[in-house]
Amino acid sequence: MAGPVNWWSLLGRSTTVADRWLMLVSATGIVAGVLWPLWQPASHARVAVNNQPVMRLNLREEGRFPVSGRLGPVVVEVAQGRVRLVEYDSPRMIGTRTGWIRAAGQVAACVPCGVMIQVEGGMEGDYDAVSH
Amino acid sequence: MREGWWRWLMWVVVLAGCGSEVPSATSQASRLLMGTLVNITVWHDPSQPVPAGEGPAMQAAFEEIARIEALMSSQRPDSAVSRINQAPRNQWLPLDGEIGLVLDEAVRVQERSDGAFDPGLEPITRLWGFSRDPPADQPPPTKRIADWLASRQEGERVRLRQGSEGREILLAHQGMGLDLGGIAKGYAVDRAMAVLKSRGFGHAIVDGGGNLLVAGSKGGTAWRIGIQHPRQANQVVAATSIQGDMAVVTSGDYERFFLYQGQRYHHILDPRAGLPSTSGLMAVTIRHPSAMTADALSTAVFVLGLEKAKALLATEPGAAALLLLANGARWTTPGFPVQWLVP
Repeated sequence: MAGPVNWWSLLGRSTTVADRWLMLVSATGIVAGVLWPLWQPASHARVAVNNQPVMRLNLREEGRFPVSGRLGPVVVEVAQGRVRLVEYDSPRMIGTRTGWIRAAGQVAACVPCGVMIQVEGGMEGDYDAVSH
Repeated sequence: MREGWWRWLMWVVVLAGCGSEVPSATSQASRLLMGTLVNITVWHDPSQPVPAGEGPAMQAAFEEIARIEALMSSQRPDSAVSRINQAPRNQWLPLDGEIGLVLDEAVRVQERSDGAFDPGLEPITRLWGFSRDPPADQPPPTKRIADWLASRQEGERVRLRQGSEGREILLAHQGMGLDLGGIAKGYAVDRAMAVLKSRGFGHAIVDGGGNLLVAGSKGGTAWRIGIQHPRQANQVVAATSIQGDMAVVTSGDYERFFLYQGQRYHHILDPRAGLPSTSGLMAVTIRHPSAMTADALSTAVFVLGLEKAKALLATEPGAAALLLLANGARWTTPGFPVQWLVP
């Protein structure tokens, strides 16, 4: 009567050292392939005015980019892989509370001036939505 | 056995692993509509290509919200609601059936809440100017608020009836005007979700400026919803999980407000005073199957305050509530599953 299969023994008998290295490399490749996209920061953000796209920004290229909002000029700033609405030309700074965004799917908007920036990619983060 | 298929298998696995990417299981799109940021998130099976109809379905949902905004906004002079507001008072006017549907629910909540919610406040909300571009940064003159109060009679309502050719509405005097800001966003969110579902996308979130309607799940995993901290921007005070169809709507004193001479003036007005509500609450979150009902209830509960809100909520079997009090206390109905994230 056959006993339980010893898989380690079977593996040892049926593979060479090179085969086992190959298996290790393949396992590492699978894990890296799965995790790599998650480690990658988002690379671009879209800027829209009145729901019409006006600009696509590379988050690796720092700078300040003025756009023309409904109520006046708005500056979009990119730095260190992040993006934000810097100012709406008003002493009350409406719409700039969100601050820096960098995760895929994040949005910052100045509603009165109709300007919106969204980091490209599917939604990331701890929550699928926030009620406020 | 040492040769052949093992190596081929390993190389196939190596190449597959190196070439693999985790496709995002959700697609998201955003628009500025109804004076707020509207986000739509749709889940799809990550093992399958993104469905071809997904983008058009999201676009159709946004267009549905835009349609409702064009119909019900009191900020747009060409809307059906504005035309009612511009018409002479104390006469019956024809009423769009969809606005009538929303008003039916608004008046129901108004009656249940003893007037804490009121869809007829346009003159006083305009006076306060929270929805202006740019919004007001100081309160209106006290006399103008007093004049508005004097124009109203206790318990009066927007009046609705079925006329010979359809629904009709009557606004008794200039102290009354339609402002559906406390309910129309919820209705629009309900309608947008209906559009998504009609096109086969039943796992989604429609987020109308924080008024959420959640449907389905993420491949069997519940959607995770955060609840905004009322005093810490970009911080979540609590989380709730939802699997299935449920709205989560929050009203708070922190979304639209200004500080004037050291005092906070927020946009949730007490209809009985013409002033920002001082009920002792900072935020109210309502769970309810209908985003429209949740929207109206969140305002009513905020204005009523904790003790009176308990009585209202007891008459709303589909509703669950989470209240954050100005003194730092918290209260929830038993049917509100919540994980507190801030001590």
